[in-house]
Amino acid sequence: MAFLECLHLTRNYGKGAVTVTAVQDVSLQVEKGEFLCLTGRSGSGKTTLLHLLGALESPSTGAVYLDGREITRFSPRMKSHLLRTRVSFVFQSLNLITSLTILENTVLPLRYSRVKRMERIEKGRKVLQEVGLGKRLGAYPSELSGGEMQRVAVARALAKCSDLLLADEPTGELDTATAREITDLLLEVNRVHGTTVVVASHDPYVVGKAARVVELRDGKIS
Amino acid sequence: MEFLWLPFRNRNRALLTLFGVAIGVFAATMMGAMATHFSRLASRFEQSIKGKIIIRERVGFLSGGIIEESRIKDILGLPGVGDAVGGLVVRLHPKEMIVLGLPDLVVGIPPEKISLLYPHIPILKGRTLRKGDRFSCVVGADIRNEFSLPLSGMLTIGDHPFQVVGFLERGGGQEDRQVWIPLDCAQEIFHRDGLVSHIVVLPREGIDPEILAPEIEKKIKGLDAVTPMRLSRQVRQSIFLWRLITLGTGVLAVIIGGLSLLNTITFTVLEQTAEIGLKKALGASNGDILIEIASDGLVLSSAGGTLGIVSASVFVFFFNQYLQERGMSLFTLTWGLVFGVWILSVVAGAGIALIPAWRASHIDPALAMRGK
Repeated sequence: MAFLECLHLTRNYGKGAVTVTAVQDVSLQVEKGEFLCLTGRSGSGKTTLLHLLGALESPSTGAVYLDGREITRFSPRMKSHLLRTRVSFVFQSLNLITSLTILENTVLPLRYSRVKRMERIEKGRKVLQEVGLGKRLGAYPSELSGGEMQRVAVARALAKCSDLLLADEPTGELDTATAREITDLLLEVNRVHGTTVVVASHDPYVVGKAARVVELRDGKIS
Repeated sequence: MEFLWLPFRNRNRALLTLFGVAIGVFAATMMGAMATHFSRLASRFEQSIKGKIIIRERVGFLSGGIIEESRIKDILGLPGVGDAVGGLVVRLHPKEMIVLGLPDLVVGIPPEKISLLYPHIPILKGRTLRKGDRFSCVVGADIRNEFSLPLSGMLTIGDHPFQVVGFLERGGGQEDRQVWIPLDCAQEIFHRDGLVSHIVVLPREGIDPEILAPEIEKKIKGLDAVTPMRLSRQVRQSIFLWRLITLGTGVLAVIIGGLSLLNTITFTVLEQTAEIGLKKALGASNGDILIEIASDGLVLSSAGGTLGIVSASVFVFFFNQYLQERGMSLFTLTWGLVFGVWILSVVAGAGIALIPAWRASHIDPALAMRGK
């Protein structure tokens, strides 16, 4: 069985006549350490599929397996634990808590994992150094550029040593140069740390760099 | 310690809520202090009449001097009666028509019987009345403040100067508003020779005053023998309405403060829906979110409660001083009340915050992050 696998995933929203199917009968396998790009137009179901793969929402039918365990059957408590320890998200925007410094944002999952404060700070410093923000630990999100905010989100994934990183349009709101920097950072995380990365993007640079590209159209793999 | 300042992310709203809670707690403390004052008055009164029967003319003993002193001998001759002491009670300011609360009273009392009648009231300064004293008085705490009386100072009672020989310790009861003078002086200056306004009967040891009182009424015609239970019931009934009003207002104040808190926490949750979704996407459990939001309420209610209680304590202190200088008292603030109101505000705050916190903890992270 692959590291990450989904079988016949379908996600419907609404009820009766107003039902919208965001993802329809999608089956997909992702190997450990792979860099996969999910591409497709807006509304093709990329974000919903990422949420389903990361147990952020539950499918209407179908199943998701991570390391052979069916995470779609996990209880809310187990899903929270999974999100704290193994799965990380990088969103297009709203990645950070505005009232927390970037160091506090980076180590927030560790706080939920009850990691001791000093250990958290040490870890946070190290990963922020790694993404090039070692000198801005006390800055607040409002003081950062869009690219820097995405770096913090990546650093957060590194801080908790997650082995699956799901990035939803991480370059969507960035200029070309910054978008390339963030893509390169994700590639580096994948290469250096062996983190499995699934990126939802229609950015040609990301699509071009991915080891494998899967295109979604109207909720289905085309 | 991050949880302490997190509720103040929106400073203006947090401060308004804090003041809302503080005002509610302030009002609750004030009402509680007033209710405590009435309760203490009643308790002190009950303590002072415990085990005693009050004999009075049927028109009431405050009218003064309508029982012949010679009837004390008749009462003393009855079986079960240990002692009987006559007293003359007259208002200190007879020209005052309207009195808010308890009136200032002059109590004429045989000096040798004081320790028998008032063993629970200690002398703060000076001495009590002695047999043979003439135109001497012992003054209660409120009267002392009202007239700024020094020890050995002079107090005019019924156009006669009396020398202050002692001060009663403040007890929070009627005695704070009393002036004790020798019974013979009282009869002389108020022209009530050979008359008393009431007689206090002390039953022999082992005799129940509730059983003795009807016996006295049967044998001594024209007098009313009031038992401690009957007096106590009358007092409790008369303060019941006051206590109901004060406690009701206090509870209303806490509810208003609580609604202010509920409003703020609910808006905070609405405002932070996306952030709460993000936290859940980062692995925060329902319990983590519940604790975070509820602790916002706890911090605001604790801070508001503390501010309300501190300001109420300061207000009570100065207002009581102001009132005491005018011979009045209205509030009694006890540690029990202070801690009780604080605990109530904190528990109510945390409880109220649990409602929006519970809803926040069950937010669907995916929907929240999409702004739905």
